[in-house]
Amino acid sequence: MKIFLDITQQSLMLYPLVLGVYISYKILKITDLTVEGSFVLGSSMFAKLLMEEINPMISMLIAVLSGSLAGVAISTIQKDDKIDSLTAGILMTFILYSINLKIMKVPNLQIYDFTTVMSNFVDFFGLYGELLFLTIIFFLSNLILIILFSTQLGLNLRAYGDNPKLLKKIGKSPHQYKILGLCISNFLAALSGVMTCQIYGFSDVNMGFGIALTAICALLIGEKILNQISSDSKFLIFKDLLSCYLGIVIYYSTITFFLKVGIDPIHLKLLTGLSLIFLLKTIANKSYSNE
Amino acid sequence: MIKIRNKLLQTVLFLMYVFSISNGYAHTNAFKVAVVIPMEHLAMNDIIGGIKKELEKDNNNDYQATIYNAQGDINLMKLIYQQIFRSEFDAIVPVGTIASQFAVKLIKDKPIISIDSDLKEEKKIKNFVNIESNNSYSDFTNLIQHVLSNSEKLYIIHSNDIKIFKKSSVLANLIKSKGYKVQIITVNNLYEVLNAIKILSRESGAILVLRDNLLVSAMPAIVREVKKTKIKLIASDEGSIKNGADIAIGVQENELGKKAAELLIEYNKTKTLNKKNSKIDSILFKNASSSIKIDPKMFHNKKIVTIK
Repeated sequence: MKIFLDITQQSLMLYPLVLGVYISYKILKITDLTVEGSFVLGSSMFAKLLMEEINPMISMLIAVLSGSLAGVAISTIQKDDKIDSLTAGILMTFILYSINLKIMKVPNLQIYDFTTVMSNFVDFFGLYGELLFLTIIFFLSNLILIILFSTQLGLNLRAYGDNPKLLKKIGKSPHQYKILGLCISNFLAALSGVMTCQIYGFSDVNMGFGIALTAICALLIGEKILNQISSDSKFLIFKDLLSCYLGIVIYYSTITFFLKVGIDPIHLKLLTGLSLIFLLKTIANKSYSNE
Repeated sequence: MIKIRNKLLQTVLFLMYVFSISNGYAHTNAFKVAVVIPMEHLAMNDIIGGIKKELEKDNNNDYQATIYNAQGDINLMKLIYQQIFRSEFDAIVPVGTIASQFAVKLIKDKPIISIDSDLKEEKKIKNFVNIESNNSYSDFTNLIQHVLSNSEKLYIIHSNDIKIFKKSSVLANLIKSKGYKVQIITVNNLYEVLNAIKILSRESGAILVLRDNLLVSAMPAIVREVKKTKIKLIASDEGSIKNGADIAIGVQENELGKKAAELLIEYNKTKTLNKKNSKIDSILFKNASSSIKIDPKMFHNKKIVTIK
């Protein structure tokens, strides 16, 4: 039960990041690595503002909005398609590394003795306060995305990923939708950074290292599994959101399992990778035999 | 049917392999210690070696040290700590600042004997003690005055580790105040370290490397590059001298581990954490093949060790 709670906490903490990657990778069909930088941007901005004695709720709001600004910046770099999304994302991550250092002044800020939104929840609801806060964010972010993708705006965002020329033909500016999509994506990444900072009790300039790959991996695992349950190729936001969550839960469950059995640290990532390959292959075999 | 049987067999074999290479958690009466390291390199191995060796010396009690390696992944470190939190460890030994930050955040009722960390207001944390060398800034300024002429420049190379970051900036200002030219170079990965040294190869002077995980792990490659130049390499640990650096003021890594083990043994016996006895005297290490000459009178308060 306790292990289940640990996995849930870790998964919920990074769930907004997976959603962010889902929007850029699956909806806009852009490989955007900026999330790695905006994850730390959210975290560093939040930690810095707390230290400046700004209200935790306002700090959180400013921090996640700064993630959106990173989204605006990355879409501006990609304007006119002169720089491809992968290169732009990598360059933006470099730029954000320096910006994050500039914000924090030092590579690591400790906030565990500061009052945060999450610590208020813990004070009020006890031990499960952190989990409750993460669950609220989980439902809120799901709700917002469900509403967004059931409107014309959401439909146009999907149209950008599927066929940007179509958008142009119906008189819409594809670039505007790219900005909006990347804004939401990086907003969610920064939100994940803010929550991570509150749970970890510090912000570190290196804490985003490799996080985009984890999110992409989780996204693909979840998608692969859900595609087996429902082979309907129609766009179903519920199914996609569930696949994002399922993916991150499976990823962290695998690592936690190996930690629990006391695996030698040298073998940990090897076995995590092998077991995920094993899982995906088994699913693929099942799909093949069904066909 | 055959397919299902094969799959089942594969799964069973995989799980058997997993359990065969696992450390396991024996439920014995031993005093259980969790050692959390941020990544693996020679210095970390020396620290772990020091802990294990010293714990073995206590014949009256059994100790069981479990090593956790976060492999440079901060999220993996969080999962490790959740695992430690749920397990029955009697004490935690985190190495470095981030590992110690997690320990302080999550572990409230067990002693945390940290090695080489930099936590804010650490003295206020009841169950926490940090083991580090008592290197003073004046030790380094003395050494640099000894090694460098006024016309030569000092390059301080460091990664974005909070402890090293702060130390470098204070040290740079101190050395500048003595009339030396100083340049700080911040690097993020091994490639940048080597690239920076290649750029410096046309210059003369000295490179100072403080106790920094990234740089210490790259020391053999750094030495190889520096040897092609006239630059002197000043370090701050014994391991770097063994790898070929010219001179260093610091501690032997296994001494840090031994000190942690001493505090663990003391805690096991008295159930109180000794917060006073956590500093280790630093030593002046000199590489026998280095051209730098040392005047022992200048370092009369330091033990000098020459390493071949």
